[in-house]
Amino acid sequence: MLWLIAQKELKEIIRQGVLKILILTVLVLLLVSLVISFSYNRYIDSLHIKSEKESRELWDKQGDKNQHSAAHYGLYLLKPKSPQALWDNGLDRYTGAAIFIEPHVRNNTMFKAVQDSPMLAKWGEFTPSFIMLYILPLLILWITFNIISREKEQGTYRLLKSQGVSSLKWIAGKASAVWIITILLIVPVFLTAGIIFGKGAFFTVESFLLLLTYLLYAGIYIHIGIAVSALTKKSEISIIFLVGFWVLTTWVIPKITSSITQNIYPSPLESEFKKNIRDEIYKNGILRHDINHKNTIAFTKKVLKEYNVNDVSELPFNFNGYILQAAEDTNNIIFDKHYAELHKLYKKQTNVYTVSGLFSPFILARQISMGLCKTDLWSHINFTKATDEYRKLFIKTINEDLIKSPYKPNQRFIRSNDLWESIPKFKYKLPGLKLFSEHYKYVYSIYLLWFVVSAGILLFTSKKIKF
Amino acid sequence: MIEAKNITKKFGSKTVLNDLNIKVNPGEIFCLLGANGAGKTTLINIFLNFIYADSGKAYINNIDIEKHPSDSKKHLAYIPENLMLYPYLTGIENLKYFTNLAGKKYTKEELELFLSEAGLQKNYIHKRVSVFSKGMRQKVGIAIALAKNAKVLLLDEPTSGLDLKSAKEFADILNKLKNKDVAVLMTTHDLFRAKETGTDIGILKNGKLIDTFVSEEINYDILEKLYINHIKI
Repeated sequence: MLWLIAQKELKEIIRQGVLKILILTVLVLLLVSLVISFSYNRYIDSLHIKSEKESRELWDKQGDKNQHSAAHYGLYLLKPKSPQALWDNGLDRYTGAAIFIEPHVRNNTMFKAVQDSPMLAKWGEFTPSFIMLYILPLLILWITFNIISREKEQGTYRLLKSQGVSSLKWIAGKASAVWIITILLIVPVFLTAGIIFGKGAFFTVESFLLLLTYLLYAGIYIHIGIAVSALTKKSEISIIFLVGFWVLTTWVIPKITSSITQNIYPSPLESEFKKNIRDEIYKNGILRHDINHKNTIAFTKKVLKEYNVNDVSELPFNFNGYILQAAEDTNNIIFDKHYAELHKLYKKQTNVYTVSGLFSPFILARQISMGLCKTDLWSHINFTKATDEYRKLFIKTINEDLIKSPYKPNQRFIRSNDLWESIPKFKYKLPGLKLFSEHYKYVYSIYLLWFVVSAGILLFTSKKIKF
Repeated sequence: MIEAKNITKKFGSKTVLNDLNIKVNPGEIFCLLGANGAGKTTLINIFLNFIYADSGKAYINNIDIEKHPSDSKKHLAYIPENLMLYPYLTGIENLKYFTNLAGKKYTKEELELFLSEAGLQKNYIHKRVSVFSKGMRQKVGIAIALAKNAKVLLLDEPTSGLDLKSAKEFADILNKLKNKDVAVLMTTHDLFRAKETGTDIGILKNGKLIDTFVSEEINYDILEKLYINHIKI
């Protein structure tokens, strides 16, 4: 009977001109967004590969130089895009994807798309996730808002009941029809896009979970849409309620959450954050380029005393290299401390978002989508941590070479390409599911709860339908 | 067979049906007359299990409808005052859907035959119901009853709003069903149609069956006078 009801619903939906146009429109929008996203990501990827290659070539071939001068020449490191980023560009446009590494300082990422294109910040991106999380729910609401109330209004429900159809089977049949349409709309597009644009690397557990996430999100709207239609006597009331739900959960609650989060756990301004680090380094760090700084003087005295010599030229190693590495080691502790505090703050902020997800499935779906596409905050932090580890290794290798070099006052030791080329290349692997589960296990649990509760509400309403 | 035994139904403080007893045997068409609010539709709704009686029992083919709602519905067909079907489906698709829901499976030819038997013009069988008149929709309703092989037919003001020709066609079909031993309970305001179609006539007032007649034994003028008198009092 379930399939019988679903079949009839599908037939009716397909025969309704407006719905047919709406379904086709969403399909076209989804395909267009995929093509745009693919083109953009391919452009960014090729740019990254080219930039990183050129940056490395310039580093390798910079010629004869003092090690420290060479280190200041620096390197650009770029974050690769995951195959899933085709669906959701997430925070990449805000966080940027390139880091310049150099001695003494831990730089932030640069080349943020929103800076290059301010309109992007204002209007957002036309991505497949935008279609899945904003537009698809509207289509589902349009299909479901009168799926039950229409039958009550026109009287077919009485005729159905007189045939002995149970409300539960009737509602389940209708839900099945909308599920079928949704699955037929999403799954083939998802798989085809994976085959055409993903080149095999797309079909991973992350992609499966992403598809599941989008389907669950659609499912929440299917269940709520049908439940509201069943509980309201008039279709007008049903559509008002459902559009209200959409506005509230996709626009209002996320904005309110953002404001609340910023009030409870305000993020420091970048300038303020950098100043705090600078101040602490000035207070507790070693300023190699400021030889008159008290900490630099104290460190020099300590080393001279330790080796029982009167001048740095008497030390058994190159003091310039030694103090540079000491400054790195000391200052890195300060950098790490400040960044760890910042990340703790971010965690607190995302916890507020997770809790607000109890009131908005959109907030949860958005976070999960970005997490699985590796365009979220934690993937960004994972990348910046990896670049900083590489920076530490990169600088240490240079400094250690300098330490071994003969020390001649007022004369800089020169090294050539063989040293620059010996520095290992930056190899970054995007984070796997471990990072995702670490940060999203509760988010996904609440998300699943939304789905289960919405299905429960639908079951419950089958007992509450009135003529 | 349709049977109501001592049915009482109240909505708030208002008693809509008051210790009502009705029995319609196979091959009988019982026309229930009554003013608006007399309780006619409430009685139909109780037989359909849409609402429950406060006391008393209702039976369809000797099945207690409250105890066995699904079983009782297997034997009945229902046509409301304004039968609405699915406008995006054709006449035959609507018939197929409703008969399938009732657990019956027919071939396309058999379904076409039911619709023809119910009086639907052949050129409308495969047209969308959105272009159907009320009379045509009622005929699809009759076809559903025929296909379901229902032994009980509940009709709630089925001829109101029908033109004379359609109402006459409807009455003819009911007579055919009567001859197939179907028990029909029809609520109506239409005295003339009740006299012409019904085998028995009852007058319902304030939830009580205040008078019953055998249709053949009473002439129209007397019925009209009696009905008006009852309604006036």
